[in-house]
Amino acid sequence: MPVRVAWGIQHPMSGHLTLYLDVDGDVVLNTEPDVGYTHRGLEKIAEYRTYLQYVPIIERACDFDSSNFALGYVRAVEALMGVEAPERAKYLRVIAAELSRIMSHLYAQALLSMTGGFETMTVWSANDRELILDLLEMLTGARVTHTYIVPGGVRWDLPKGFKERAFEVLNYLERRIWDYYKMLFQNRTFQDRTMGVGVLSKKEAVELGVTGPSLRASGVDFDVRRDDPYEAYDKLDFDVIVEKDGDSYTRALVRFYEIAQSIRIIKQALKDIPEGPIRVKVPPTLPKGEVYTRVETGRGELGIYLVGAGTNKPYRLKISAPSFRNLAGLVYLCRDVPMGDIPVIYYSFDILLLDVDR
Amino acid sequence: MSSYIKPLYMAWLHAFKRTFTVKYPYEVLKPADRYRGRIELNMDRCIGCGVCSYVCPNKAITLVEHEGRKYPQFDYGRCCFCGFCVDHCPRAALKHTHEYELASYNKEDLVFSPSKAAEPPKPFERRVVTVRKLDSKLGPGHG
Amino acid sequence: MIKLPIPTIPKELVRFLIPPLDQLVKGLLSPEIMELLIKVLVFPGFAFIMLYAMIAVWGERKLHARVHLRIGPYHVGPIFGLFQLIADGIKLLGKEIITPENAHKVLYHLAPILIMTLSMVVLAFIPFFPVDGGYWVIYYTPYNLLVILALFSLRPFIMIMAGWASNNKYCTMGAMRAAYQLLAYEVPLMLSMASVVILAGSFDLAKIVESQVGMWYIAPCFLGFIVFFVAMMAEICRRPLDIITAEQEIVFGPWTEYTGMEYGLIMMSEYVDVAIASFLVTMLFLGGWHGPGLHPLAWLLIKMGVVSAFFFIGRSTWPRLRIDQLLDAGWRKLVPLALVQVFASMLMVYLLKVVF
Repeated sequence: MPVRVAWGIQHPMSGHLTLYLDVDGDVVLNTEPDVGYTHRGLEKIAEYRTYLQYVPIIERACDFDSSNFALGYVRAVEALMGVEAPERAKYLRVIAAELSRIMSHLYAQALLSMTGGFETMTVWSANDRELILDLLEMLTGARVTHTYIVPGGVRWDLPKGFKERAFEVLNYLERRIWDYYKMLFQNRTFQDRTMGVGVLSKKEAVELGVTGPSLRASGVDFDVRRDDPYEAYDKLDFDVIVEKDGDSYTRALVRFYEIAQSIRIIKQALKDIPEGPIRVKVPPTLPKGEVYTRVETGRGELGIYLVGAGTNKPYRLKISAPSFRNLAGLVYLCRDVPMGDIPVIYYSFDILLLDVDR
Repeated sequence: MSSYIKPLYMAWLHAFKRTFTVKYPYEVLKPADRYRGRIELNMDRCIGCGVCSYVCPNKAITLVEHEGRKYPQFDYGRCCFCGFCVDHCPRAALKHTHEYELASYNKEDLVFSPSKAAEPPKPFERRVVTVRKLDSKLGPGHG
Repeated sequence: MIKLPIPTIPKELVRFLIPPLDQLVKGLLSPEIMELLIKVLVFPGFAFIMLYAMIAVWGERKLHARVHLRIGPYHVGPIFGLFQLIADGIKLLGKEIITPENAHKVLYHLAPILIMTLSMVVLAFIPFFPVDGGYWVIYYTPYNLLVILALFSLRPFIMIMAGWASNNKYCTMGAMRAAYQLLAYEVPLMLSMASVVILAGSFDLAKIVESQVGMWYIAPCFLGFIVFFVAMMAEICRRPLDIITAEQEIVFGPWTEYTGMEYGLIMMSEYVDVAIASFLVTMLFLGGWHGPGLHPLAWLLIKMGVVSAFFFIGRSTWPRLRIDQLLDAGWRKLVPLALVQVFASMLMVYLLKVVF
């Protein structure tokens, strides 16, 4: 007889998401998510703030990947105004965005290993994330919510000693992630826990609308940075990681290899960065019109739809968040699975409720 | 079989490396030069124009009367430490310090009047640690 | 002033009562009772359990922290945090003991007391080291291995009692998992014990250790050692096989609703279980108290400490298994290995008897 369990907020491992599970013995028959715990009304607030004042607010839409979200919004504003950032600013934006992506992937790996009760990997990933946060503090002034990318360019230039320190940290990190590979991905118990769990085939992934590393782990070769390039990504050389299996192990593996690719991008950007100005003037009002831009954040594809009305505040802003689309994949997969698979599937999709609820 | 033994070997290896802990609050990490902490007001340069209050995203700055002139008052319950007020001040009267320990027991203490905002930052009296060598065999530690 | 009648005991009654009282006091001070009191209170009784728990809590948390590149307990005690258990105990004493609504009050409060008692009663049957004439044991029977096994089989019932009496869906799910896991892993436990018993020829732990003078049983029974270690880890619910109290899925299994000192009793019983498991592993496979030079008790404690360290490091090395993978490992992988070891032991005994 199925019993309804609230795998809810007051639970050590659920984050902010409530899932109502119908459990029969040890098997979960289906789930019903209950979102809305962290809803702050960010889309309505945008109608009452100028476009420069909104940059710190959109960064709080996702705490752990803040520069990528700010980049999406700033690109929409610049596309509407017809302004283009200078070359040096584009490279600096790429550096901040890729550092933010490494931060997000390390945190996702920490949370996924926590579901198996494997606190060792959580603390190791968090330790090495501290080094990246120190680099971001040196560049932008804050550790998590950077407020570095603004319409027109970036706010500050590279500080003295940043290049040497960044190369030290990135070389160390490149060697260190193979320790993670040996401890986590070649660990028999972790493989038993995640291989074959939550398999999403290529057709199902495209139909449900999942994005990001979860889509690439199911065999679909699509990455916004390569197929619709923005900023300086068309001048930089990197690989897009595509795997075939589509289970939780592969999703974690795709994020792991993307850390190595991000390190490669940052090293090239630091070497090739041109001289020049870092910020241009922007007009004070938004013209009438509408624009839709997309960027690739650590969790997937973020779409921003902006409507301007001739004043200095937007008329309407719509954020199409990546975790909201991946939630459909979660609900589809959590049917007739054992109870121990629920946290593993949830954290392998890297759903953070902050950008489901905005 | 080796996939059972290899993690055990890695675990015993890490038991003999240096620890990564910072023994806060006895030791403290040094913030970077650009770190955006509490804002310090230079009362001689401020002209009371109000641009900082206009550009703040959270309406944390209000202008109040103080000794006959208008000065900004900062509410740290609302401040998000973005630094737009520092960037946009026409007379460069605002500056970020490195203080971040601003917690207090009631909300009224968080509102910094102009004279309190003009206080210089307190120097760090505790031991400052940094990350040690990254490429040593014992691993990086804080020391 | 009111004069109260003070009752006086008549002299004849006093003279009648003195000889039995005298005999009672003499009997209490006799050597047997004193020895029993020392055994119950000092070793292997309350004092040893408290001391072992203190060192085990400190050791486990320090080792776990060093694998994570952290420091562990630091502030309380002489060697950087040795008295952490005392600090935790005082904190737990100060918390309120809550009874959930609609819980079965008697069974709910009885469960942690029973599990602690069950863990400590096992210590009454293990012979620790030889003294002149016999062994240092609270109650000696020649079948003490069988008695210990029987006491281990009572554990799932107490967990089911706690899970049902708590009136909580997570607790009943944990109780069901306890029933599956603990009953499934008793079979490999019994079979690997049987392989040692066949070689030694007796169910008595003392005789098993006495017969390991020349060679420890880990050499001929290596498969049995591995099976016994894994089965013991599952019986006492240590990570990576602690699916019963999996914090990440079913908050704390059958013990979710306990607070205050009842929670302290449950935590303590887990450390006593590790002590019992280490004692059994050393006595069955590692030669017990034999060793050159030192007193037998010292050798026993050293070997037990090394085995406990291996129980503790399992916590940081492997993630947890799912319940159906756990049962699969228990029935399909460990039982055949244990059977192979039993047949190998029987073959060895036959060869030894026929050839020599």
